[in-house]
Amino acid sequence: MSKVIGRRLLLTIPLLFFVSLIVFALAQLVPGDPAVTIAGEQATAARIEEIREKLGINDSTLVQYGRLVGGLVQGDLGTSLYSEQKVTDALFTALPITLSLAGLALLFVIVVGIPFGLLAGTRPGSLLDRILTAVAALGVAAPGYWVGILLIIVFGLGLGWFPTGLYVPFGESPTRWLYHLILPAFALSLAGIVEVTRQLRSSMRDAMTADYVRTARAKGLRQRTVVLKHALKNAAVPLVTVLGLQVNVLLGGAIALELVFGFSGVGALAVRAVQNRDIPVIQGIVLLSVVVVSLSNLLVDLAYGWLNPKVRAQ
Amino acid sequence: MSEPPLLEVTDLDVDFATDHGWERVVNHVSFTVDRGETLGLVGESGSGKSVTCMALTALIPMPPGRVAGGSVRLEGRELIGMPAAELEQVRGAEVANIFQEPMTSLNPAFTVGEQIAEMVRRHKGLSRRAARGRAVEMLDRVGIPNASRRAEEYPHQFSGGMRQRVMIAMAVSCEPKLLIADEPTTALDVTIQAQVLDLLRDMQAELGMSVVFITHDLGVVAHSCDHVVVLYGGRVMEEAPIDELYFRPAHPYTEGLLTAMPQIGPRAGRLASIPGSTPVPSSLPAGCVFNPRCPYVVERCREGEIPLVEVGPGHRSRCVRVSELNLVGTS
Repeated sequence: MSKVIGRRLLLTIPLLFFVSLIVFALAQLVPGDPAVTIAGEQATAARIEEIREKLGINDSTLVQYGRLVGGLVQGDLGTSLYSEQKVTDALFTALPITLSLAGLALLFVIVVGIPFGLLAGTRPGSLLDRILTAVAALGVAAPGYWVGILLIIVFGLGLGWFPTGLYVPFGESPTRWLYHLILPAFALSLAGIVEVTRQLRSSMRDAMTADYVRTARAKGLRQRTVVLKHALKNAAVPLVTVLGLQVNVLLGGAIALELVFGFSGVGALAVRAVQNRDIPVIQGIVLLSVVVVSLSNLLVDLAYGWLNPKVRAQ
Repeated sequence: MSEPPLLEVTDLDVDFATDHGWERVVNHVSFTVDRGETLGLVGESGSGKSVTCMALTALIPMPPGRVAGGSVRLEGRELIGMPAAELEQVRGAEVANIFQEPMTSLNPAFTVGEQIAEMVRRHKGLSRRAARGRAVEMLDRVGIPNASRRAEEYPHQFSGGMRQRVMIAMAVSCEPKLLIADEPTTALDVTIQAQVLDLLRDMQAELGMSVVFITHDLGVVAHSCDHVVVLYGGRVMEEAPIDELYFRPAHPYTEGLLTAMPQIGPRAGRLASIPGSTPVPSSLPAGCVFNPRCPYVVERCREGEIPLVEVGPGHRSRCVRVSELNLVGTS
């Protein structure tokens, strides 16, 4: 098992270099000149040239990429073109906020979506199933940022039950951390809850009519055991796929909700970096995303092995 | 007063919901199974034999299925309408099932040892460790080599015949009074079939259980059963002790089934078959349900409900012409 994990982690290293090459190439293709933006509108040609020299933009493409890779090897992602802050520092400040938001949303997806999917899937055609299906259709149609704004208007400004912004670090106060995160995390989780409910509903429907479920019932097992042990373990394979994809979706969706709720997480950092053409920061964020997505894929694959003995054998 | 038979099924009706309302797939089926006895339930696909047996312990999917009437008594206790929690205690512990498809009837996500052990834990209240020991013991008893190691393996690591052995080990692990074997050998190679049938017979002798053997294969019936019930279109057509049925069949359908059995030896020639196919529940003919395929059909076969009549000791037939016909059995 640890051998598999080790090999997979080693494989992400060449992946990171490949992605860094693509990000670097894309940055080269983007029109415009960061030096002009930094220097401001009234800057002289000499001033712009000076900034270019400082940023290293005048060097050949190869030298610039070499510098990027050299930094990467040492764990150095460079310095922001604007704030002069180290990219790694900027990421480490922003990351806990985004992880808190996406993590809490993922928790909502799991604790709400799975019971809903189980209820609908074990009673197909029932009133409950039809209500959940209808609500799910609404959930798909409503984008997270729109729900976020709606929640702010109703529960934040209208009823005044929840704060409408300001991130409180977990270390400072876990309860206030949660209190401030509930609205954005709920808005972010909605689409995922719907996706998980629908997926689990259909895979549970299939599993409940399988021969092995009939066997489990014939053995006199309790209905609870039949559903939660025999049917769910088989129905969980597509569920895990969806959850793995949700990690990516939640991280992407966090960008919009961080802006709506005024959190300065990775998403907000990314938006600012793109607007300012702050290439080192963009590179850092993309590479960080690669690491996070690779890790979630690894977890999904490990879960497959646990759920499906045939996969493990290979 | 004499002890009630182990299983007494009386006038069992089972319906399935369709687009045109309820359709009756099992119609007033009655039979009894005595202690230690093996009953054969014979019929073509669609005759209602599997549904009948699954309805006994409410294993048919409900909905779309429903038990519309009748009674199923196990040692005098009524199973129809029994609360779900109570019925769970009967399933596996008193009435166990073996299904036709060994490939899909075991859960692919759990080891075979666990699948046996969880049942023993449930019904016998054994500890995890003791239940595992029992699982290995059962696997060993059904002739699986290296039982202790094999118990840790998953169903996909077993062949079809071995999986059916696992199913048998599981079914008898709680020493049920009644084993319902639904075409347990149909999906297996011919060479493996005999082994599995022998194993079932040995297990039955060891544990003294009764067996209901569902099959379309009269050869299997001859090998295993004491008593036979022939089903057609959801109705009992004939019921007889095994020798009676083979040598003195009292229903044209039974005769057809017997003639359709492949013969070896001087008589072997073209295989006989019954023309036509089993009726669908939605368009059953009036009168005797077998009349469209019956070579002896006359006008009165096409009207009214045909009664099941006694033609000998323990021998009943649902044919109006039974006394006039001279039906041929096996010789």
